[in-house]
Amino acid sequence: MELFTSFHISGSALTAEKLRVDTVASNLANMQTTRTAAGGPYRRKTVVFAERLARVRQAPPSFLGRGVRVAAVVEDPNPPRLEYDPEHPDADEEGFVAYPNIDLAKEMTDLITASRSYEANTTVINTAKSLYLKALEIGRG
Amino acid sequence: MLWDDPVTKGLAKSLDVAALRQKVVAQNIANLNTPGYKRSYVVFSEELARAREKLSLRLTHPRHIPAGEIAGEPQVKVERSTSRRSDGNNVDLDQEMLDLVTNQLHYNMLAQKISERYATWRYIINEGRG
Amino acid sequence: MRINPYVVPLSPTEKEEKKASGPATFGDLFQEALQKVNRQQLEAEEALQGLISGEVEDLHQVMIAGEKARLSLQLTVQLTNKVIEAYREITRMQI
Repeated sequence: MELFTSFHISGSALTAEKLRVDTVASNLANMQTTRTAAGGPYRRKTVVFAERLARVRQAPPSFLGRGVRVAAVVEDPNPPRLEYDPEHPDADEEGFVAYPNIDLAKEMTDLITASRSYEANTTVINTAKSLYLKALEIGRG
Repeated sequence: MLWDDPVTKGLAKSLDVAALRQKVVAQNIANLNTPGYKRSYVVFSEELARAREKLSLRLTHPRHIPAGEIAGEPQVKVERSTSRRSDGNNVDLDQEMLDLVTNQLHYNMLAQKISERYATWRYIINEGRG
Repeated sequence: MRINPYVVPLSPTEKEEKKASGPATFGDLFQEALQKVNRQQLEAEEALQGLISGEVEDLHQVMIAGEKARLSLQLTVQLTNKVIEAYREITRMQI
């Protein structure tokens, strides 16, 4: 609904950042996962954001911004972290175990980024709401 | 009609601009973490005219082009400056939050003023009884 | 709510009274005012329709359109009252 465009814009950001947080949670949970269904260790996942625009329906110049969307969830292409542990069941011929290349500090940074964005967009939603409520007062009293 | 005077129309138009600005700021803040995103902003000729007066900019040469705005209509422009961030995004959250708050106050004031104007007309029409 | 052009039909005698009173008839002005009211009512209704169908971008536009319609209506009602009052004054006059 066009009337609540502002909400859609900010809402999309909340959704996107929530997905980022889920990704971080998945990465942290799988820091020690050496075995996956696809074979090999868990690969770190990251989200890729892109601007979301309205599909143009009419000619009149109107603002087309509709927030943000997650364009893709990509796997980290960097090679896994190798640890020498011949006793480990997933050790290769040379005794090395491949661990996910997940850096705790990096994940925490992403978490903070997401949190900051989430907070800011919540503020925008509250502001938009107050504007609508103020508009409803036009003509009252 | 009586209440289609320039001031009332001006208030209504300014409300349109403030509503647009709200969406643009929302878009910027939503794309805070989007790689390569460049912030947008709203220009409105009336506001520029007042600012121009203060700066006393004059079009001294026939080929001087006034800052490209359509008279009376707000426009959304993109700021294509380089950013200090490695991902190419140039949104400054502090600036956007500031714009958000000032715009909100401005909108509230405009809505209040236009409401008062209509209330005055009502009072006049109904001889103080409406 | 729509006001059709023939709203508030004056009774036949009143209409004749008006027509007889001269070229710049009050009736014409009144008719014009009514049409304006009808237009603004239609505008307000369109804005409301836009709100319902999701086409309207901004709530304040709907509210403003509603206000204009309300004012137009009130103006018409007050004018009507004045017309009737004036008519009564005239009929009460001792000639």
